[in-house]
Amino acid sequence: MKINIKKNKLPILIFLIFGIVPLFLDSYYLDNISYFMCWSFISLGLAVIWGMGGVLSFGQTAFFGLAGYSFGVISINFIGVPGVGIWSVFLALFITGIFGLIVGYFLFYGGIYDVFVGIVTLAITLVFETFMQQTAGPEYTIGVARLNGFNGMQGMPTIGFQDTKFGLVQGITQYYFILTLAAIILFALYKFKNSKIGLIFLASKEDRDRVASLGHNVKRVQLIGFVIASLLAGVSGILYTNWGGYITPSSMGLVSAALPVVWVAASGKKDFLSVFVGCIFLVWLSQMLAINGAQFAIIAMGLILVITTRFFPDGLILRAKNILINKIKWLQ
Amino acid sequence: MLFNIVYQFGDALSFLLLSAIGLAVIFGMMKIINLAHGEFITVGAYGTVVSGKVFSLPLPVAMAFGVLVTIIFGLILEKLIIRHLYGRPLDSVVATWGISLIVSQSFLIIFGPSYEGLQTPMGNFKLGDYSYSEYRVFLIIFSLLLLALLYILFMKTSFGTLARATIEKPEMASAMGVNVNNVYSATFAIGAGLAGVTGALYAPTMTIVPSIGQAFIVSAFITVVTAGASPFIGLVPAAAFLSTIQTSVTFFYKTTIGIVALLSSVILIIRFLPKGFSGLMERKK
Amino acid sequence: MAKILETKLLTKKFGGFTAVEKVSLTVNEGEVRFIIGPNGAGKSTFFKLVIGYHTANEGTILYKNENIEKLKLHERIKLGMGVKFQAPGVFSELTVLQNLKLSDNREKSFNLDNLLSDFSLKDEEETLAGDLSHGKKQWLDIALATLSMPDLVFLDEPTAGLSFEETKKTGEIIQKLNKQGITFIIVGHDMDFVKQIATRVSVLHLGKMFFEGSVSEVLSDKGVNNIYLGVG
Repeated sequence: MKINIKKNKLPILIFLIFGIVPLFLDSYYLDNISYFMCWSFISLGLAVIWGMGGVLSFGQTAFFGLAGYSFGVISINFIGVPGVGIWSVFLALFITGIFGLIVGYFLFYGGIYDVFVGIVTLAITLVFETFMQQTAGPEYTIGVARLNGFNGMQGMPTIGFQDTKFGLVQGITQYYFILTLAAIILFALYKFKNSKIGLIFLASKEDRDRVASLGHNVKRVQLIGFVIASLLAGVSGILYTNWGGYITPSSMGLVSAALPVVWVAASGKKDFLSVFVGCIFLVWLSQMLAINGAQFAIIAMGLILVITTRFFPDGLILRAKNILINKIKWLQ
Repeated sequence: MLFNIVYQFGDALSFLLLSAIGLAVIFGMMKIINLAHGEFITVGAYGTVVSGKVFSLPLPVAMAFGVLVTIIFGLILEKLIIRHLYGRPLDSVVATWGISLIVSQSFLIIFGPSYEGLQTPMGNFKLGDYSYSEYRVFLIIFSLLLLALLYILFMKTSFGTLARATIEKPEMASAMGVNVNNVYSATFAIGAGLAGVTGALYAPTMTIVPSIGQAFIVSAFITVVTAGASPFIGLVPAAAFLSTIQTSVTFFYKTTIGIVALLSSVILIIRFLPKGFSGLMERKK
Repeated sequence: MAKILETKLLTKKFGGFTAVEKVSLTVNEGEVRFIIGPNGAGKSTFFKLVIGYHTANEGTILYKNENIEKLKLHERIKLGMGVKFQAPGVFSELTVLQNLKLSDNREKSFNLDNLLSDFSLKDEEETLAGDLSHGKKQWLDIALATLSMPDLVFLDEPTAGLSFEETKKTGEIIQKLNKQGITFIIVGHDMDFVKQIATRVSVLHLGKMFFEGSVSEVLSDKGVNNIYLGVG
């Protein structure tokens, strides 16, 4: 796989900056940045299905929660089994992908489009959340893993190899792992965007019938995009669960469902790099606001949304990126 | 016992109808996904309660005040933001979500986590072992009347025809000399006002918190979507269908499962009855 | 001459309205067949039935002597059809080159450079399709329908909004492609265009097949002239 360095100066630069950051920051700040980066994958997934495909799905959060809970249930049940920190991750992702396939099939092959996708996916997410909220009783246990209702599930082992240097605990390993994963996924997404399937997916946003009249199976391509998005949401879910050691139903509530939409819309849904950087920035910003002016944090979020859609519909971060590239010749 | 069930059903029905009525105009007719719908209801509720307390107004006057405030709020919002989002449904989701965040949080800051409420008007009456609220019976009747009025307004008056035609073909209307912006503003204001009515009507029965509107928004969307393409025809059958499901499931299981049943019904309706209940009604004609 | 398309008693109803009624039509390989008729005659609906955009209520459709009713739109296209709808069908947010890349859905295709020259799009490869002039958008739309060397191409109003010279040029491009082996079925209103390139003409009226014949036969038929009431 060749990377054209000349054409990709900005993303390479950004990842280099992120790469040398650990030399200057101690682990508290690193863990914080790791936390922000956990959320970039669900946002990238939304950028695929919404930014590229034109389908606004509120279901990303459902896949986030499903993956987190699956990871928790599987790994808790097999604590001590060799490699559980690895294959439970893949199994959880697999389960998430299957659900992505089922929901996507229901939507696209069922002829559900436009705003109704948003409504159906939001309904699915809320059903999931509502159901999980009331699983507090001891009868709600899968194997030895208690679902625990609104308190959330805890006690899952960390990703990776337990009790060795390769466990994804807080610290520098986790930071570099997530950063490298992000770089790989961003690269893969750019490849997808420039591929034939990516082009079909992109065109389907504009005119599905015309794409079909050119001989392409639109429903199948949109399904592929939807499953990619669900898997990326799952990656976020698992990393988040691993980061904090818990997963709760509120991670699938109304607010949680809307947050990725906020990040992606404000960043610039059509550009993956903008979404990656923007998501990290916005999660950091909301954390800052929550600490320093809690009450106004939410108002600020709301203002960002309104101002962005009204004046910068292409996205604030994307606009900034384009200005940057224009001004700095070296980046072109 | 029978009256009890009818009462429960009617109570659920009027709640769904009143939740949905403002949204039926804004989303059902104008196709704007208004995630700030709950906040319109909140404005109506607070407008009623605050004016009632501060100016010691009798309840109906306070309610009228609450509705007026909501209409003004809606008009301002339409002019500043909503007008620029026609034809951009996904962007209106994002923008109205932002508005709802701003409004609900502002209410929290200005009025605090809760505000002293009003008494439920009218009294209670007894039938058999149960006691019922006269006000809630009033709400049932009022919601049906309000819907009938709305139907007449939009289906039978010249304004209604003008509004529907302009929304469907704005360039055509403009070419015929209609001030499209004014029509949009007026229609949006009606939708906002109706949400204000909902807030005003329910204010005396609920605790006044900044998130009071949130209780209505999910029901509102569910009902409007189920109603389908022609909201004024489909709203009553949709609300009747949904309240039947909700009442029976809650009766046999618990409230949370009732919500799950409602949400699942919406999913199935969108999939198998894409034109909603109004599609069904139109076929019967 | 082999039959490339045959419909038998094709019917399509929308609710109580019958848009296409028992239309039987045969097109042979190598033809440039025009389907004409007054507004509302059912021409576009007929065309959408054949390609699979609508599902017929009754009747059969045979493509190269095989029944294709059970196939979906994109499956029929892959059998060797090309389509240009009446509504504009270029992707405005993609470049001309990206548009054409989408059209490449079979193993064979015309030489891209030659096609771009023929359609006067040679210098506009990187232009966004939405920024093209109306005439070039129409040509790009036709190019999308023909790039992958289909055997049968449907064009619905390919000259709508084109100037006199542009219409003539379009006719020449179609004739050139026809000589390279593409059969055309064209829905059109412009009688000069019909006269320029048609090999045979079918006339629809109120959803039914009204008349079929050579260009001169159709133009001189009294019935045909009547249904048009002197227009076009």
